[in-house]
Amino acid sequence: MSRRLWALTLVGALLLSGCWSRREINDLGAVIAMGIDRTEGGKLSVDLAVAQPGAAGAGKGQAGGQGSQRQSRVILHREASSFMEAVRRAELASPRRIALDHIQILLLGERFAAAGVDALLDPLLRSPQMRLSTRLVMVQGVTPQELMETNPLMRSTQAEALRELESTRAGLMISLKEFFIARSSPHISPILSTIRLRPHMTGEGGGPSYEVELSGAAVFKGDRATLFLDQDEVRTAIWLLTDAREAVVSAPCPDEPERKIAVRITRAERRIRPIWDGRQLSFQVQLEAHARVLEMQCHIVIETPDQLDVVEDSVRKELTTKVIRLVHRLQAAEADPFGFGERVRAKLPAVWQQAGNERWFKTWAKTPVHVESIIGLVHLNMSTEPPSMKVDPSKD
Amino acid sequence: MREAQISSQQFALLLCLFNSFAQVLILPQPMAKAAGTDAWLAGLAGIALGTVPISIPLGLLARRHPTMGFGEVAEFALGKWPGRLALLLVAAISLFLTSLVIRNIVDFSAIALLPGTPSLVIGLLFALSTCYAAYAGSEVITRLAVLVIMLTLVGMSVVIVGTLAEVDLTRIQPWFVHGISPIMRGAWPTTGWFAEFLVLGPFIFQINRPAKATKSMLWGNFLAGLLLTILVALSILVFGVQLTEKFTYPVYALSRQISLGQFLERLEIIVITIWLSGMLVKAASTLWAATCCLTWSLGLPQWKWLPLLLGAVAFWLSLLWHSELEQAWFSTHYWTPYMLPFFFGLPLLMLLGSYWRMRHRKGVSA
Repeated sequence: MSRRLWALTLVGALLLSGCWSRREINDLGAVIAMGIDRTEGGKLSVDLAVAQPGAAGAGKGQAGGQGSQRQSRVILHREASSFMEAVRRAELASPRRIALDHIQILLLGERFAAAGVDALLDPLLRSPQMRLSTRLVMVQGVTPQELMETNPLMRSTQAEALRELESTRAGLMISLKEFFIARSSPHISPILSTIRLRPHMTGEGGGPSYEVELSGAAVFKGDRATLFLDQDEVRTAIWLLTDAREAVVSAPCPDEPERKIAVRITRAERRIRPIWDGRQLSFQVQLEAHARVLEMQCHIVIETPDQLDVVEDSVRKELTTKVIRLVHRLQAAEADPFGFGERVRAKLPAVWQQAGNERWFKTWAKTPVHVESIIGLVHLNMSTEPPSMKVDPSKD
Repeated sequence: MREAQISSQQFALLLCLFNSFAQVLILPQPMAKAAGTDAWLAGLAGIALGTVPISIPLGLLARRHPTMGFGEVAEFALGKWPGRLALLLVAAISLFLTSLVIRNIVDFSAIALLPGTPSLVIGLLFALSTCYAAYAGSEVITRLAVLVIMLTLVGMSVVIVGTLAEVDLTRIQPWFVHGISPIMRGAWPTTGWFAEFLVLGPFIFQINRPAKATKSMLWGNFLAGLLLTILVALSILVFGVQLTEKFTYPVYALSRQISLGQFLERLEIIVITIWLSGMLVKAASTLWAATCCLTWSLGLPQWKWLPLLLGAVAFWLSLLWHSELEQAWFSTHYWTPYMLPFFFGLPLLMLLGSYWRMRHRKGVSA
């Protein structure tokens, strides 16, 4: 009997279970995007884009079932001398409890990035709510608040639009983890994608919509953004930094530089090897890729392996030139976002003791970098020549 | 007399759990700080340094006294009162370890798991579960350990597969650049942590085939070292040394990075659940060891409420630490130098005492 009583008590206890200080989903304000900038007076300006679940489900500007207009997000804006103080102030005015667990993207303002981002990094690393997979971008042209308040194109929030951009692999999307790794290393320059707004006048839902465009990248020295790369340079940077799969490379035609060939990369590999010949440090960069032809304006028929070689050679030369140009630009700025120094530290520790550590950026600026690329056009897609090519009947 | 019986494999798995679960949470950060890219090697060095000098004498003792329990061997080898004093010390250390485990759970849960729940409630519930497991006895604890280790294998596989895409091999290189000294610096705090398995003495003398006790201890400790090594190496491969040494709990941060096909994420709760179960087994095993050693030491009768009483003491001890940092600082800076002489000395003294007594007894009988 006693055992039965115990068992009954234990089973009954299960029914009493619950969460201490439980919070219903309706009581939470899930922040999906956060913007941070500096005011003219030097204060931190924090914008929290809080999701409105009912509105997001119903589509942009529509409240589910009620027929009333309802924003799919609410922007809470606060200014304070520290990040957490600003968040706290936002909480004081919010009827829902602010939850930072679901932030998808962090938007840094231009002024904030120029003045130094360290004020934000510590609370982010310390907070158990923040996830290191959260993406970090820098906003150009407008403030993060202005960007978040715009209506996105084809999505209910700009945060969602940016996450979708990432899935296209069109640009560089840096996570908090990658940024922290670079910032905590004395010899890696942090890099971030930059975005800007472009008005799009189709005007979904009555008002104007805006495209968010990946405009380039900002390279940091310490915690300040000092060097800006354009879209073309970022497309090259992807080869050295992440995975160049899905990248599109445009190259001039072999004998007609004004016409272009465009290929899509289907497989990409990179090898960056530091070489020490006893006197001089140098790098050998090897890029290998498989690609398929997307577009060909050249007057070439690709029917033989030799003809294919000519086209491959053109793409290869273009890629090599772009990489060398980008590397020279970074060396001139004494910035190393691609971890060239990290490879010396790992592979040539004795050289690193002499030329690395705090001296690395100076060493990097004068280190020769040799680039070699191998492009294999493995697919021509659905045709072997442009439709405008005239077939010579005498060949038959 | 030996009471319950556990197999050498079961004990090896209990030992693996005992010497890895708290370690993987707390130690990677100080190890990375001290040993840099060699931190992962520090785990293996620590386990070799901390466990071999204890495993061999304890294994020999178990073989020499196949029918005796830990308390009886201590009394036989060291003499009645020194033996009882040694057992009292082991009981005190076991109790202190129980309190440390409870405190680790409370601190970690307050940050990562249940930030809104009062620490007192978490600690109390955990202490009560520990008491119940200790009350159930060594056989139940070892069976639970086997189950948790099986779950750990699944959890480890998920962590490894889920973070593989983020691995960068350059982050863990170079090795041995500064020689053996950084490895030893990294291994030093771990040595005392691994050596504390001495408190599992009462379990060792319950192994059903005492001849396999040494092998079982060496295997269990090797597996624990391997677990720590893999997780420290993975933390460095994913985050790099500089970021690893900034995290309070690098392995927890690692579990938050799990992403399978970019659709299966936020699996850290599974890893935490397995970890909590392991910590429960660790706390229960130390509490049970404390109960046994205290009973032998003071000559108490078998009293079923003793684990509850000792659990209450351990819970109270866990509240005495002013802060998490204070406890972590003590555990990584003072635990090894203060406790290592005892951990290494006691089994050796017991073995020497056992040899001397046996020889003396033979001499008398001759």
